[in-house]
Amino acid sequence: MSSPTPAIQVENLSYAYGRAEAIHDLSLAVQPGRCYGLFGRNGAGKTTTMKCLLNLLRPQRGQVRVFGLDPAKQEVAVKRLLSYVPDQVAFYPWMSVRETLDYLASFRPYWNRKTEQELLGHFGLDPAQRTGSLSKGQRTQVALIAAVCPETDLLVLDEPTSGLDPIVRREFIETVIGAYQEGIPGKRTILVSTHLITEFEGLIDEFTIIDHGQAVLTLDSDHARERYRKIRARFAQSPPELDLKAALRVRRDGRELELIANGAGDELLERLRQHNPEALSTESLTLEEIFVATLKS
Amino acid sequence: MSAKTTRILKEARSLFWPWCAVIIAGALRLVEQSDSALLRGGALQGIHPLVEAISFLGFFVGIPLLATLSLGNEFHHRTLQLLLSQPVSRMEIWSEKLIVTIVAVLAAALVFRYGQQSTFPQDPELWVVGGALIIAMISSATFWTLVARSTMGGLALNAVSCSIPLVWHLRREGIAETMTTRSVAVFAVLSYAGVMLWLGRRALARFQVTGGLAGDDLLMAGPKMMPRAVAEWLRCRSTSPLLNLIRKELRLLRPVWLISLLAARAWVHGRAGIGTRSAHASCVHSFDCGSSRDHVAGGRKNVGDAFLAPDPARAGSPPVAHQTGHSHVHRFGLCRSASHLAADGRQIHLRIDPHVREPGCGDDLAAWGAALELCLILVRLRG
Repeated sequence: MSSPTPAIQVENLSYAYGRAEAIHDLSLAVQPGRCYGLFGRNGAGKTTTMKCLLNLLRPQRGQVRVFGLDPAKQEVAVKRLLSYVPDQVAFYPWMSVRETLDYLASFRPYWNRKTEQELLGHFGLDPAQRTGSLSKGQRTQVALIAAVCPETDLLVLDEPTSGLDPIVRREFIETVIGAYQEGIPGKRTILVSTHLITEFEGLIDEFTIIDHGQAVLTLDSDHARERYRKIRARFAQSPPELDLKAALRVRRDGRELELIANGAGDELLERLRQHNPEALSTESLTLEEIFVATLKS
Repeated sequence: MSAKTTRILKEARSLFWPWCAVIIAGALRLVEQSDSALLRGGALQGIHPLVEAISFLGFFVGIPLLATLSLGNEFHHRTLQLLLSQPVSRMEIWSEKLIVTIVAVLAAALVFRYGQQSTFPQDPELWVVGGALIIAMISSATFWTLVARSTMGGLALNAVSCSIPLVWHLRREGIAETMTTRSVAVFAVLSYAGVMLWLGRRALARFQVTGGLAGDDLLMAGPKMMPRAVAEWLRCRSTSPLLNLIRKELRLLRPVWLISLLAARAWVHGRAGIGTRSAHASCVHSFDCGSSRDHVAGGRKNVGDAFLAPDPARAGSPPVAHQTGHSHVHRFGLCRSASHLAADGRQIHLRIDPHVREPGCGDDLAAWGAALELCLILVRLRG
């Protein structure tokens, strides 16, 4: 059976702002129904990648496909399939929240009014309030409602939780994103870029870490947690000198030794056991720890 | 309500208040020309210069502003990304904006036409020039706004670029005004409008949302705007906080310095114009108040111009009025005396002598020239 068309297919994508190269030879593929994380430091190229998906930027090299469609040639068809929440949300200040949502609904063939009402209540937004008087967080909330209500097959979220308070942030991630994906399981895809990796920990199925416009690491989340492990060993005396080249990072603290292993966890554990530690424990890294360990190494 | 109607209404709404302001500016002339007792010896008798200034601004700033505002608003409110990320063709966005702009500008232009009707009742050339100017403004607004990435930048570039044919029209020398030259001029302006329309459409189709903040604005564009030596001098140091504060402010205000530089140059040109005029101390202003266009066939007739001929014989018919030290000659012919003459049913012919210029008009031309240079600099930087 042939594999389904990827929701997003990026191949050797490059884009430069003048002389500054934002993305270089980036490739990634997002399968339908997955929640895909795009992690990277500020200026890593996450927003540029997302803008290329929407044809807001034209790739200088490489190609981008959304459900097999070329955004540059089939712009409207691609945009019908996705909703986008940008990192800097802006609305027409003279419009009320109600008018803004109606205006954005006018572009869509379907708009879930029930979800809209629920989310407006959830976020405590006043539909009569002008968007010009909304705070940054409230504008983001309106943008999130506008992105979820059309119930598109792909949700592209660029730093969606920046500016949201912790309660709304948690609620948004658990309720909104969760409900969106559960609407039609296995069909609705999310591409999210964020610094707040911990907040999306339970949702991310697969991720790519970008640094300086290049993909540094692409992994399935479960596989990543298996592969990246933190090993702690406590010895009776100071830790012995060991060959720990296989470890990604080594930290010595008195009688304790802490290692971060990348795929060689079992081998390192065995080596440590040979020196009879008082205590030996191992645990999976969180996605944020993997992110930090990868970029620091 | 259909989706298209919703979007068109949104476009119309964004233009509504500026459109009202422009309409009021145009309608003021109508009110002034009415037989209101307030205006005839009443409390508002001295309001004419103000009305004239508002009317002038309304037409030469308001109309290009209306043409620019539809897209300029998207930059101003940073909503272009929102608009372009919706599932609608860019050409549809372009056409919807164009439709609303055309309706708004034409409605405003009609009000101005009726406002000025009694001033220039029998001069089709004025309406041709005005019409061509408006068509050119509407057509080129999208392109210039996308180049400038701001309403003000788009307005300036649009106004400057559309004024080039007007300035040329006022300054042309040695070209006899025949039906052929007129047709060629109209054809040239319409061709310009067509090309700009196509360029604007193409620019929107290819537009890339490269940034989000003020860095988008052409006037605030990167350090390339400033020569390296000056930039180095204005660079903040790790010491002297007070000087750093001044340096920072100087850098922030860089568009103002550029504009000041150009204004200074315009002023120097203006002074030169005054010098030239002083050399023609015997200059008199003449109104050729004939009744037929034939009277001016050999001359260069420019209604809407303040350049007046010193030699009445060149007007093609004997002048009926000579005035010296005319205090009501205004640029672009928004002239009370002119309206009074026109109200008597006579045609007004104002003529150009290239060697004699009103100082204010010299300033105008120099300013337009300087603004044109600014436009070219900006476009080059953009490239």
